[in-house]
Amino acid sequence: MAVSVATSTLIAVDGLYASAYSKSVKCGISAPLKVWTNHASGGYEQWASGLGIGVLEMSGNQDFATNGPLSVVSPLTMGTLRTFTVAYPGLTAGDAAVVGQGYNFQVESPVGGQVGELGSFSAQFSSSGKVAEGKLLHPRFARTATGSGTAVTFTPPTASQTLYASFHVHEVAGAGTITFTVQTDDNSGMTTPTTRITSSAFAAVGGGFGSLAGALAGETHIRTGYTISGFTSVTFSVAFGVA
Amino acid sequence: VSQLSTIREALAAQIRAAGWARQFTVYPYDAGGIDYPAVVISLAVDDPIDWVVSFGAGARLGTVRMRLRLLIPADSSPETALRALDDVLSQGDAERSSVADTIFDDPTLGGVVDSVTALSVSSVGLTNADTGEALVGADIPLTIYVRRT
Repeated sequence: MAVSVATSTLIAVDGLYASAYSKSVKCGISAPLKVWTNHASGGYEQWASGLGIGVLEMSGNQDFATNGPLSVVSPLTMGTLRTFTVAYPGLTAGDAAVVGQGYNFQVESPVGGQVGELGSFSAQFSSSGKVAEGKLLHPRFARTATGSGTAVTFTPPTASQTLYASFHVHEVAGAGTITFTVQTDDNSGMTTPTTRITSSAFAAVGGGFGSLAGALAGETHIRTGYTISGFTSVTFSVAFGVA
Repeated sequence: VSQLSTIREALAAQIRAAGWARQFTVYPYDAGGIDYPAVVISLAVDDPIDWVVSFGAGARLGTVRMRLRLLIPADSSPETALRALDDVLSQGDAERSSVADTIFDDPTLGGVVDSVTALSVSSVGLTNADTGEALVGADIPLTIYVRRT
């Protein structure tokens, strides 16, 4: 087996490119066990899985830049539903990713720290709804014109599953909009793509989430499309998950 | 900017511009042939560079540890040399005559780095130059935060 060392991880929360500030990240999913033991349990406890919850924890170096951690990790903005993506290593379409939405429920004081050490931040987000495992469709990268990302293979959702997509606009130049789609097809050339999810139009830095419930039988490949209007450049990242 | 040579030169330039350093020759590299009194810049001996301290591949923060070595001739009068060393190791002087004031005056070195911190002084004492000349000296460890661009 090959080991890997985490020197790069894409961490995006709405428009925040958190990777530039984070030095620790944890994206965990858990479900409490519920005991349902009865007199017919044969002398052993019996358990059922309770409701699942995903938690995104990250901590790192504080930066008071406009689109720094304070833009989404602040006592002033707690209670805002955020879209998050963690992809490893997060540099290429197809890298493993986890996507979800959640609320910031813990934040370290933005002006804390110790003398002689870097100013720090930490935050935890609790998921609202499913946290889905999938792949990165577009790493954080600047685009200047409408186009499509690289198609990657995927296992399509079954009838009881849902396709989720996360959209993160990290930087924009000029004035305009960008709209994302998530397309699937039954071939790597994406010769007959079908648009499954369309984001809202972003006119500024921010994040969004989309979903489509139900089976996509026969589909084998997935990619993102992006339509840029007006902006001279947009830096963004997109990922999907199935759960 | 995170070129080590650029950091050394920027640090040297900032020290040369300080009033206290007029008597010193500032060397961005320890290459021998030193005229004393001198300020010599070098990488720290132990763990001088952390290339990766955050996850961001495109905006990666790194840490560089350097050392300022102050060296003042002490052959003629050790006490005079020690007093001169006291002067530059003091802080809070309105005339900005100390190393600490020089560093904290512009901890970005003119925008070359994110931040420089000089928190302490170490290894103060008598030493000898390669030529045998008696010196008083002090080491000042610097921690420098840089961003890859």
